[in-house]
This record gives sequence, structure tokens and C-alpha cells, in this order.
Amino acid sequence: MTAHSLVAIALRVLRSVFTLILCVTLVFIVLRTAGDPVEQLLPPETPPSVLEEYRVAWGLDRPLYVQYFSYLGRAMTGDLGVSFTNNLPVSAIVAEALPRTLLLGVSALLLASVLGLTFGIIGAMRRGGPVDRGVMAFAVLGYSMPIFFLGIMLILLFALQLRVLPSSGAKTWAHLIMPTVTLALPLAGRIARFARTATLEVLGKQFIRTAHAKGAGQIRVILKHALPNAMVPLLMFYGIEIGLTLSGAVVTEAIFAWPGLGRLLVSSVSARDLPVVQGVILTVTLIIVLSNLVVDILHAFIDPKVSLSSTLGGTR
Amino acid sequence: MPQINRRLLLQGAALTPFIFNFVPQAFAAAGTSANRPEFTVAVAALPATLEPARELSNVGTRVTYSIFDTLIRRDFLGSPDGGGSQLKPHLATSWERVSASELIVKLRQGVKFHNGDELTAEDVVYTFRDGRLRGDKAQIPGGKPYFGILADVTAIDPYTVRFTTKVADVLLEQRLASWCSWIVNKRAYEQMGFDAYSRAPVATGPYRVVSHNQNEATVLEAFDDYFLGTPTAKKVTFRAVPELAARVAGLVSNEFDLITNIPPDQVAIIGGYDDIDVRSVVLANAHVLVFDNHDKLLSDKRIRQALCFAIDRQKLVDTLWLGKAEVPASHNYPEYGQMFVEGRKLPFDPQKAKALLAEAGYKGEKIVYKTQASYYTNALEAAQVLVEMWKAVGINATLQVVETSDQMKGNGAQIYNWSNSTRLPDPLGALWVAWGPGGEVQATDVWSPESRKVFTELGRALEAETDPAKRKVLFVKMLDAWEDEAPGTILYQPFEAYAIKKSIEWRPTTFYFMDLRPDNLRFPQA
Repeated sequence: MTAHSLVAIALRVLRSVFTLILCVTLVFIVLRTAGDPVEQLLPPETPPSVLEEYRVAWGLDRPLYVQYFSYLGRAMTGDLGVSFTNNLPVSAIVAEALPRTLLLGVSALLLASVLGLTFGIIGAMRRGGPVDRGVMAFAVLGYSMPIFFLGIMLILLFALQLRVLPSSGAKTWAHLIMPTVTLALPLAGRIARFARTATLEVLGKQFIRTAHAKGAGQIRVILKHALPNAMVPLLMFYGIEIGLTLSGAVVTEAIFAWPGLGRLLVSSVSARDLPVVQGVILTVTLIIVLSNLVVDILHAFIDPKVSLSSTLGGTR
Repeated sequence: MPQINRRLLLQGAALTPFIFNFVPQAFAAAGTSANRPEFTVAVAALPATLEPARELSNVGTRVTYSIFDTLIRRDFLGSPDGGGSQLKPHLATSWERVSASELIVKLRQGVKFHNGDELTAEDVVYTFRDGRLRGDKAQIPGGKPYFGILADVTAIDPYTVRFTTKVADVLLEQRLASWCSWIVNKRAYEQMGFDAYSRAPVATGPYRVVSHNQNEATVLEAFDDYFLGTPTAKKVTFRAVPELAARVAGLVSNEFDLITNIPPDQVAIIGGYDDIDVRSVVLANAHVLVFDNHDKLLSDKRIRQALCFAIDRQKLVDTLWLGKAEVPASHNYPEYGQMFVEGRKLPFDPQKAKALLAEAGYKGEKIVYKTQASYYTNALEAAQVLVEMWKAVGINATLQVVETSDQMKGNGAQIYNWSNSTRLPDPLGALWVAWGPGGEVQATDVWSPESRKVFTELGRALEAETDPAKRKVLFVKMLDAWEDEAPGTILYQPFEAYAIKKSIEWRPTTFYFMDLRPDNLRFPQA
């Protein structure tokens, strides 16, 4: 790895830190100005004197800038505070929910990749034919159907009518099926469209014609020559999709009562448990920033025409 | 490559239950504690902790009611509507009034905590000690409205406790039966500390805690040494399932035995399944409107009265609540017992409303009604109907839907939504808690000092009075003052609906408790 590359990585890491601080600041301001969490957390007739005691206990009586710098200082050392509702460290609460979201997210990404790449490539190979049109219809249906609607439909069909899958929860692997499919189908639709376009572009290249001329079969040409080249734009596409998948997980986890970060976010927002909300958003931002960094680095390794410093936006 | 044939398919089918993890449950049903089924409740949300006094909400007390016991038990199920207010011995076998500010309580002997300790007076004293529910540094400030009145709690002997209040308190027995008075185990509380105890409390209730995760489930198992008899379920699981469709699907497909929070428009659909019953109860809670006295227009009580007279509450109940909610007789409920005032009603009189508006010189100025869309069930629907009812008598009302409670009550609010619960079955536990000096409408002067003067004086007199007849007279005058000054008005008492497997015997109560004690949860014989 060259010195240029190391500088580029360092610069990118700095940019990522800046993104994180920006995100923390925005979330802090929005949450603190969106209403009094104490009133939200306690029953409607709670006496004002009791409300005030809770405000003092949670530090909400201090000026906003004092609260902000205190939070930022602690966050820098990894201390995300404690939950208003149960006094547990936010880091422990997030750490408990994170593996479930990662399991769901990775499962959905894998399923979406298998479905999306397969349909995308088949569509490209049968361009203009009925198969291609069918595949693209599936793709459009997949990404245009709201996750909320899709999730409910799956529950009604597989849990209520057919009774072959559990409706909610995370007890066994069977519980993973419907949330995964719900999260994966829209993503699969987007991947299919993107993979089709990328494959079509590669299929028109000279090296593909050469491979055919040398007698390589269609499958071999696709797998050995077309797909690796189509992966370069697809990889960048995945970088963006990770963020979308995580945001989709918020809705999916709420529908299926999947106890991950999304579910935690929804419940802590409705309870106005600000430290937990901030902790979850910080974690999700961190995942997105890190995965984009990894994608950029991988891009440089996969595509020999691109240098690490150029993909990371540093100097050549 | 293996051939798929009939034998392979049959083998696959035989393996399917193992893959889907069905077998453990199937064997469990035939195991040693076999005759007791597991009971799974799907709820919309679970509490953050299981420290009952920290979780004074419908979400919290629904779960903690099965873990804890009180000294005195309010017999909700002694009344057909699930709202009985008779007090029964529970952890206490008897209690005696020594004076208006002193109560001696005798404890039941031989009651065991989940950790094997025997219940003694020390646990009771520890539960009500200065520093937990009361005092300047109370761990749980939310306990003060209930027990801030205590001056001292002392053990006379291992099974006798003396409660002393700062002033005469006719409600002390009711307080000891309230949702803030669960008895904790002193040894466990001290050893575990406040937060750890809050997550896995040790108490005397019919079920003990196995695990708790707010976003997943609270799992309880039967405590067979329970003093009221062996619990009827081997295990109780409260599962957090926020989505209604998932709760319903789980109930229909036998994943759950009972589900909560059925909205009125789903009652008929869910009740249409042959094996499912929808059981509803009118809650000891009323949805109310608050009229802000800070506003120049609404500082005239005739305008406020006109707003009240223009509301056809029964129509709201019939159209939005399928007729299952109830229009109460003012801030006056039958569960008050002898304090209930017969014959009162909240009038609907559009002509009188028009006359009051004319008398006040109202010229069609805009009145803004702010509501949150879904904090209260049917709030938005009711708000839209209310605006039309007011328009019908000539009030230029406009609706603003806001996101938070702050926005609803903040600048520019003239009318907003609220709710009042009957915490204790007495006017002092409902009307006075909400509209008295300790409540927010007085603290924020939403109800102005001059307008509330008479009401407050009467309320203070009621607090000090112990004679039942005089108390009732004072309450009637309080109600008159509250209705005449009209700082707000009651809309209705909503109902809470549960859907449950028809074969299971269980009754809901008017408060948010979910009673799963042996006398209220029975399964069909296998």
C-alpha cells in the first residue's frame, strides 16, 4: 500500500468522524427541540412538581449547550449515557439489539443478492423477450411495494391463512423468514434492475465477443467474464443500499416484533428515551459510514483501473 | 444427485416439526407439569422495568400485577362490570383505624417471597420507607402523589405495621390497595440494588420473573408457593407485538392466547372467529377537554359553558365506540360507592349553548382546538366530530393536529385533549388529583386562580373531612363549581378490548391490571 493510499484512508476516516459528529449534533438538536420527554414518559396527570424532579434527575433542566457538550464529551469516550426508562447503559442496550439487526440485514442482503443478481442476469441474457419483461415486472413490483404493506400481506397469508410461519418474534429461525423476505424483496427488485443494466453494458464489450469467439459457453462467459466486470458498479450500488436496508429494517422490525435496532429505535422514540434514540442513530450512522468506507476500499482492489486514493477522494 | 421420491418426501415431512422447533412444545404438554398450560399474551408494548411503582402506566401494571401483591386488595371483579371498589384482605389479614391519621395493619403469616423469605413487617416498612416512594430524595418521585402523605411507617411486631399520615387521610386503605403499593422484598432489594431489582424483582405474586426484555418479552413462571393457591398457568409470557395484524394473526394461529389493545373498529372482525372472544371493559378513565383560561375569549366562562352544552357525548360514544364506551355522570363515578352522586348528568343542550354565546357577545372569533392524532384512541375522529358540533351552535372552531403534548398545550392552544384516571375510588383520587392544586391545570394557571377559588376551597375541606355525609355534601358542591366554571369537560369513558381464546375463563378489570391469579384465569380441562 502506497503512502498516497494511507493518506487517502486517513482523510476518509476524518471525513467519517466529521459525518458522525454532524449527525450526532443534528439528532441532539432535533430531539431536544421536539418536546419535553418527561411529559411524554410520565402519565398525563403527573403533578408538575414530580415532572420537575425527573427533569433535574435526567439533566434536562440544564441549558441546551451544556447538555450537548456534556453528551459529546462522554460519547467521545464511548459513554452514550443511560436510558431514561430503565437506567441501563445505552451501549449495553444497543449491543443487545445490534446482532439481531445484523442477522436480519445480512440475511436480507444475501437473499436479495441471490434473487436480484439471478433475475438481473437472466433478464440481460434474454433482453427484450418475455422472460426479460417478466423479470422487470417482478423488479418493479418488488421495489415499488411499500415494506409495511408487504409485511402485513405476508403475515395475513403465511401466519393467518396458511399458518405455516410464526407471525412475530425472534425465537426460532422460522421467525426470521418473513422479516427477511419483506426486507429483501424491494432490495432484490432494485438489484435486479441494476444488475440487468450493468450486465447488458458488459455484454456489449469486445472481450465478451472474444470469449464467445474462443468457444466459451454462455454460462462460462457470464460467470467468468461478464459478472466480475459488472460487479464494479454493483459494489458501489451496495454501498448505498446498506443504508436503505437499515432504514427498511426499522419498519420491518416493528411489523414483525423483531427485537433489533429498528424496533428499539421506534420504541425509544415513542417513549422519548433520548439517550437511547441518540445511541441507536449513532450506531446506524457508524455502520453506514464504515460500510461505505469498506466498499470504497474494495472498489480499488477489485478494479485495477482505479487507485485507492482516487476512490477515497484523496490526492493521486 | 439424490432422486426425490415418495420415501424422501415422507422423511422430509417427518423432520419438518423438528426444523420448526415444534417438538419441544408438543412434549411439554405431556410433561410433568403437564396439566398446566403455558399462557401467552401479546401486548402492544412492554414496560422498561418491572419495578411496579416506576411503571405507573397501563403497559407496566398489566405485567407487574402478576408478580406483586398489595397489603389490601381492591376487589374489581366483585362487581359485574369489573370495577368493584370493595377492599379485601390480601397480604394483610385485617386493618384497624386507630385515628383519622393512623392505621394498624396485621400481616398474613406464612406468605413466601419468590426467594423463599417469609413476608414480615420489615418488608412492609422497607417498601414504604422515606427515600423510596416519598421524601425529598425519593427513588421513585412518581410515588409521592400516593404516599407523600405518610409521616411514618413502623413495625410493631413481625406481623403488625403502623401507618401514620401527616394529616387525617380517609383514603389510606385505598392507597394501600392502589397500583403504587406493591410490597417488595427487603433483602433482595438491598442486595440487588434499585436498578437490578427493577429488572428482576422478587415479590410474593403468583408468578416470578424468568426474564425481561422490553423489546421482546417478559417471561414469568408459576410460583407454586403462592399464598392464594397454585397458579393455573405453568408459564406466562408477555410478548411485545406492536403491530395489530401480527397480534391478531398470532391469536388466530394459536401462537397467543390473549391479545390487548383491540381498536373499536376491529372488534367485530376479530370477534367473528369462532374460537375467539372479544372481552371489553369500560375503563376507570375519562377522555376530557381542557379550556385554556389564558385565552381572552375562553376567560369568559359562558363561552366555556357553551362549548360543554354543544357536545352530544352519547353520539360520540355510539358512532366512534360502538356504544361500548360510556358517558359518565360528570366527574362522578359509581365506583366511588357512597360518595357517588345519583342523578347527575352532563347535559347536551344546543339551544342553551346558543343563548350563552349570545349573552357573552361572541362574534364568531376563531377558537383553536389542538389534538395529537393517536395518543388517545379515537382522538382525531372525536375532534373532527366535536368541531362540527360546535359549528352547529355557531362556534367558529378549527382543528389543529400536532405531534407532541408540548405543542398541544403550548402557546395558542385554546382547547386541548387530556385524560383523567380514577386512581383511587374517591373524588380525591380522581377529580381532585387532576383539577386540584397538585395537578397541571392549576399549576400552569390554565384554570385561572379566580375561577378555581371556590373549587379549591371545597377540595381542601374535603381532604380534611372524615364524616361521610359531610364529605358527600362537599363533593356535590365541588362538582357544581367544576361544572359551572367549566375549566374543561368530560367526553366519555373509553373501553379497552381484549381478544382471547373462547375456552379460557378470564375477566378484565376497569383499571389496567391484568389479573392472572388462580381465581381469574382458568383453562379448559384437557
